[in-house]
Amino acid sequence: MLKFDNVTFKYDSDNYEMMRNLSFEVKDGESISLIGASGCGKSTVFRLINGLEKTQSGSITINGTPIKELKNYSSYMPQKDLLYPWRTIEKNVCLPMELRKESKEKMKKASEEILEEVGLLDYRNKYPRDLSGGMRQRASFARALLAGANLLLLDEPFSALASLTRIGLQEWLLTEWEKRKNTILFVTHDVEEAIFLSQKVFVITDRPITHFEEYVIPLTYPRKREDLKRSDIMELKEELIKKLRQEEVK
Amino acid sequence: MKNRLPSIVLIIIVLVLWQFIAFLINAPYILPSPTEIVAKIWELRRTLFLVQLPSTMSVTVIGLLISIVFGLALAIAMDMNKKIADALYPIVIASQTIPTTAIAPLFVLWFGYSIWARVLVTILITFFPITITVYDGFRATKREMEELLITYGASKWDIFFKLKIPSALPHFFSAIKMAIPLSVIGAAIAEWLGAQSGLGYFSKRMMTQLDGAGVFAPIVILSVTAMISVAVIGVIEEKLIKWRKEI
Repeated sequence: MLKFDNVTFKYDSDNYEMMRNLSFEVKDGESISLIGASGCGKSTVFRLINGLEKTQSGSITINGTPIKELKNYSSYMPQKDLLYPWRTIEKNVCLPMELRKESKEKMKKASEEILEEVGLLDYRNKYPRDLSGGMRQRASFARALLAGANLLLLDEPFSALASLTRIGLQEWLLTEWEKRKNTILFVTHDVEEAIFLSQKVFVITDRPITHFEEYVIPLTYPRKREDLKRSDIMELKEELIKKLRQEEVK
Repeated sequence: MKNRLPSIVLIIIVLVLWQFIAFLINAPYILPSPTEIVAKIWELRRTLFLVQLPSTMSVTVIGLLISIVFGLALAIAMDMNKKIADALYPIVIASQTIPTTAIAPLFVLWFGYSIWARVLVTILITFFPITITVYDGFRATKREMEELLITYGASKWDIFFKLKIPSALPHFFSAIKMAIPLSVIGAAIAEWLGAQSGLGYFSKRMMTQLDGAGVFAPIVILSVTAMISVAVIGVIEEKLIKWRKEI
């Protein structure tokens, strides 16, 4: 379980706090989307979880252990695929295992399995430049999975993709989550995407962030895109959009 | 080839103009024509290609290799430690303000007419572009790529070997392409100022004999050698770094 306990944070370059006494929990196996206006601090939450930024006060723990005492506790998938152009897809995917000094045999086996799963096994010896945007994102997702952590931090991974590719990848991610039941924290600007992919949506409504407004999505699994047309879901979508608009105006 | 057509046409125009002006002046000791220079190269081919060119090239290659090792070591040290960078950067810049032609005779005093006086001049001229360009290459590494490695638990050395070195490769090749002509210039200057062999030395000897074509012949060979070397590095770079535009 990921837990933020009274976390206060401010960037050195800013003279205002980004978050103040923020507390929230993400239970194991939950899939949660985090939405909010641009620049409200969604990605900062990920940077804090990843240990790229240090809190001013409060604690961030995973199953009760402070993150600074842990290694490889989260797998991060950024907005850009960030595949290294000089590495083949297989070598890119293996990068987290390589850093953990895993054996070559183990890496080969794991990468073949994961690439098979994301439909890129035939492309394992290709370079990122040979792949489409959607394929690159799947490779990036495969790399995040091989980081070996149960907690997946997905930072707007589909935002730069064409509409159809994006829809395809959303459905694919949903299937993957149902299969694997990883803990997913998903940052997005897209309310519909948040509803479709998550069990809960956390909305950032204040600055500095003191709390998340929590919405439980009344959809069961397996989900279909048509579910989004249900009247209660449409109402929820409108409510969330209204919340975000209020925040933009502030 | 199509891309190079404008430069080929321009070179032909310059050569034709040169030939014409040399014909008008009609004083080969002041301005020899291109055909006279080619004839001189052919006439002196044995000494130029079998004695003087190998002498200059040995200085160039040794100087360049030492510069690469020295320049890379400095760039790595500066990238790894900010204090080292703060201390070294001004010194590296200051080293470029030393007038090479003024200091080269001093090297001859220190090392005599041995190869090392000339090598030192070559190093002094070439280590700067290598150090600064490679250092800039390390610094140009994408922050987000570095952060991704940090989230995977990478150490400073992991980041250096798995990200910074590959990212800086295009800069390294640019540095080498810059350093090759400079190393040739460095070797030639050193030979002009104090040597007993080499194309620079040979050019100076021809000058004392008022042999205009003889002065130009080694210069042409030096230029062509530098151009061929840069082109070879360019081909290697293209083969090795197909991903250059993606970084």
